[in-house]
Amino acid sequence: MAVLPVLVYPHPLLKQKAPSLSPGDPQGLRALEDLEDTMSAHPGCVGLAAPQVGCLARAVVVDVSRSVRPCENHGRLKLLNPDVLEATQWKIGREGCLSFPDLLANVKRAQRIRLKAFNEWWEKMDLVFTGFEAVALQHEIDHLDGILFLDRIRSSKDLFERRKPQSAAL
Amino acid sequence: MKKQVALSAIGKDQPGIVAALSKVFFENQCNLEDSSMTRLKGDFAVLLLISLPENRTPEDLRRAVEPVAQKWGLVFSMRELSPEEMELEASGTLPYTLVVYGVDHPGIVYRLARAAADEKINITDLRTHVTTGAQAPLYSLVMEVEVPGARVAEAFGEKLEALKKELKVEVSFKAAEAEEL
Repeated sequence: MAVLPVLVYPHPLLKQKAPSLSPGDPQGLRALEDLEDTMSAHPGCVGLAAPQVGCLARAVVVDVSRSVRPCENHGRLKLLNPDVLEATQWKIGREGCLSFPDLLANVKRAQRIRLKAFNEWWEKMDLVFTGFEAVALQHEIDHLDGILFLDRIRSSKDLFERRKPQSAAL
Repeated sequence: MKKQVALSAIGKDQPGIVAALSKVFFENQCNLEDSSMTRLKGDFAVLLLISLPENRTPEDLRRAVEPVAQKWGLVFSMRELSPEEMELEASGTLPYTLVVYGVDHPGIVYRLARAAADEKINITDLRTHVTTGAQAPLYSLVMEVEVPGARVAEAFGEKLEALKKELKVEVSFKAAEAEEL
């Protein structure tokens, strides 16, 4: 268990696709613990993906209850090999990312997703997420495929410099 | 007959510039049709497309703007649009968005813009940011373009793949989709 440094672009690991974990792989639990510790060390951070802390594995943590804006949530989510099965109700929202500390971007995301994943004990989960929690999960799962939020910008008006520190960081 | 002018102005940023300029247009019964205004570091830049009423000439407007520009420290220029320019509408082109980011180094904009120009691709909007990264300054650029046709888009996409490696940047080039939400 450790608070790890969060990799900042252009670190090459951020653009790589992480391989799936084999079921039962203890690396999964270790990654989740590190992600949880690291997320806790960043106030305002509502999610992290393993590649962001230098671990090329399909593990993410999301906890939108940490957001300054209250929203519907399942508390702390620790997911291994997450996979989006359905995505609907697309909407554009503003996001930040600890791997791009100075930028914000408007990104189109589904407001409702159905997700298949394993929890930290390698139990199968099949859950539906909505709103900001769904958005945060998509942002983190993108990290597992080496897709960064800037890759999803659709117009020149969608990129902003962060003028004051801290809104929700993913 | 309809009269339109394009006006650009830039000066040190301070509260009140937009109010001062728009007051002039309002008092001269001018209509602000299209505008883009932004702050870059300490400078505020304004691009406007203004239509004039029957009883005002572009020269009238220039005289009205001049003292305001002087007071607010703005360098401005104005140009009347020809009837053909007022009619101008992009036709037969495909809108695309190009996003590029990577470690800052000289020549990124030039190489991309050159490649676009070579394919007769027209840049309609371009925004860039340099932000201080932890290791190296990050350059990010979003360009909106009009592409003459699907085949050109494909050819340009291939060129971008080569430029991506050469410039060591990330590139995404996609058709701009209408957002239906």
